[in-house]
Amino acid sequence: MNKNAIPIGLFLMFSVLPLAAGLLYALCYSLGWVGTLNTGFTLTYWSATLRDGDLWSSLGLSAFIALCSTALSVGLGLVLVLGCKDVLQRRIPNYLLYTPLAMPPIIFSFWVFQLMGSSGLLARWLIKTGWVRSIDTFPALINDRAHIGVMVALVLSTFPVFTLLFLNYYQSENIVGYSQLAHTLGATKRQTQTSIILPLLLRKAKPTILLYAIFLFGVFEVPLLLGRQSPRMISMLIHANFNKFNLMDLPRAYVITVIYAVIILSIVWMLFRKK
Amino acid sequence: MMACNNATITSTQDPSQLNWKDIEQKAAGTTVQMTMWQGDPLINRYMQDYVVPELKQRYQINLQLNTGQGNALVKMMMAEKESQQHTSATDLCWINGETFFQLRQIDALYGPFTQQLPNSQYIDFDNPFIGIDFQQKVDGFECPWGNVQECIIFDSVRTPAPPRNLQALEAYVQAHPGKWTIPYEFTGMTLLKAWLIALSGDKNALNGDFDEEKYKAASSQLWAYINRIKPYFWRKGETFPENLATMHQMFANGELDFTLSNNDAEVDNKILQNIFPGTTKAYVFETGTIQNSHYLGIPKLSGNKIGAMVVTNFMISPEAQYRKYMPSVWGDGTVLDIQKLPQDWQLKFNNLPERQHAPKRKDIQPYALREPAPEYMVRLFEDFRKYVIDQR
Repeated sequence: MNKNAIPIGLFLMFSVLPLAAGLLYALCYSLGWVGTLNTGFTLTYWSATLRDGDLWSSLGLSAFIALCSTALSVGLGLVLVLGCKDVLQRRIPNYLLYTPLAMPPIIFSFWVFQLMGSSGLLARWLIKTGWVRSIDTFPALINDRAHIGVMVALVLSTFPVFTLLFLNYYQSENIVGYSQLAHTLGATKRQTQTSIILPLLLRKAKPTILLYAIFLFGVFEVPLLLGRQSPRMISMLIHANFNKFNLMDLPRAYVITVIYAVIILSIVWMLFRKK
Repeated sequence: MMACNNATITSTQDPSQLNWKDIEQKAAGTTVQMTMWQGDPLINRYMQDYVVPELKQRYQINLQLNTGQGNALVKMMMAEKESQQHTSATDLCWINGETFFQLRQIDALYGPFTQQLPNSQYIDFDNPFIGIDFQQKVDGFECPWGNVQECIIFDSVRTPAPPRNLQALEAYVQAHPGKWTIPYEFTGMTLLKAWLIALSGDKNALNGDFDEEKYKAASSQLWAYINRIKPYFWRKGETFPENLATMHQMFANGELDFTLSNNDAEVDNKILQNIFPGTTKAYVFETGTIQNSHYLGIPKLSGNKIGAMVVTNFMISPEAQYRKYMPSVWGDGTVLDIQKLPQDWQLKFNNLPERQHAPKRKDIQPYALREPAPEYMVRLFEDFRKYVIDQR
């Protein structure tokens, strides 16, 4: 027997099979084949959902937030590693970078809520120092149209991951050695950073960055607390459709979950097929 | 050998053929799983510290409380039905009109059972606020447990003259921008139902089955009104709170001048919990607010319908209802018809310590509006999003 058969079998049984079964069930529900109130095959739910502008604006917003938050987190991580690598490798700063990894996203959401809300710490401080006249004039930074609060919470929770990742790659990829070589060959510090260090770090971290972007695309707890009703992230749209008062709308929630799953699986397949 | 734990025994017998004495006897020693909203410490305390021990002492019933409500409950029962289970995870659930509508839609409730409960003799099922839930007759498939009327909560110092109709509210929000909003959840949509009725021009206009023409006529006025004053809402009406707790918090810290409650007595218990300032009061618009009842239902797949019936009967007993009625305990309106009670209980109910900050029940009763058909709620939820939230 192939020595890989058992681990592959376990992987299929505990990971692929439940996902595939869930997706198949969602597809059947969305087509009216299963479900207490469904009466038989229909494309009504699919056509209604695909014509709904809500779906497309939610997908667009989720992609925008995922890309911006990932870019900001990666950027922040790179700046920190390039600017203060030595400091970050000391015990306490390194420990501080690991601490946020133990926090669930909902905790970051509450922090941001308490910090940036209209009656939060920032507003109170600005009012006290006279920068802002009253609560009413404090700009909306959570539940806001630009989803600033959501992105701040996502960046706070993800940039330590990238910082630690880049720190590790700095050592494992012998970047110090390559930098010294480039320097010896006459490269300036800036040239070494942009032509040697950044490409090496980004190429190595690319799969993790892409997976994080996909994860942030479907993040739930953060927009639940800090997002707004319109437009809303795809996870919020699915949640709202599953909790609608009208049970006849339930198949539409399944349509969106199927579309979401197909999009994610397609992206993953396209990104990693070469590997 | 028979290491049988009484607390886990359940009775699966169909109670419809039994007399009440037999039901009580068979229910003794069983466990009843109750699913309810557990978001209020006073309600939890009433259940845990009074109902649970009393049931244990009087009927040897072990009542276990589980968290769950509304949609989650419906989904759970749908899943149980779809997976063809024989026994539900719950025996008794606390439900509101929209959940009743959904559970009846999927035929998940047991009944009729209320006529078998001895204490149902004190309930006036002909009262439309009791016997009709979202324009649907309860028909014995749920037992009324409490009755409340929606109120608007304000601080009598900050807002000495709160607006009492839509015109006055428009003037108020224009003079006090950012201090009013409508939560995009059940309580907010209940307020919109009252406004819909007000704009229809007759308090009985929306009674009966859903009427598309009536809805369109009234809702077009409603959306026009809200959109006209929306720029003066909290956050300029660009977003709306999605839960009442957030709105209560914003009212308490002065960000909003008003909050809402579906329970006319909530203001008193929130003051007692030090959540609202002592100067907080509640009132209703002169065009009325929705009054509705909340109920107890037994799932069709319950494994212990007998136990659930005994629990329900106790929860509608004069003493359990009296205790629940006290603002310091919960402040939930009784579903009992005081006139039908024995003399001593009539005296007790009539001499309850007055509510300090909530309006008197008899003062707001003339402004009570019946819940319109469930489709109105469905449409309001969808159209509020479409015509208010999505309009910029």
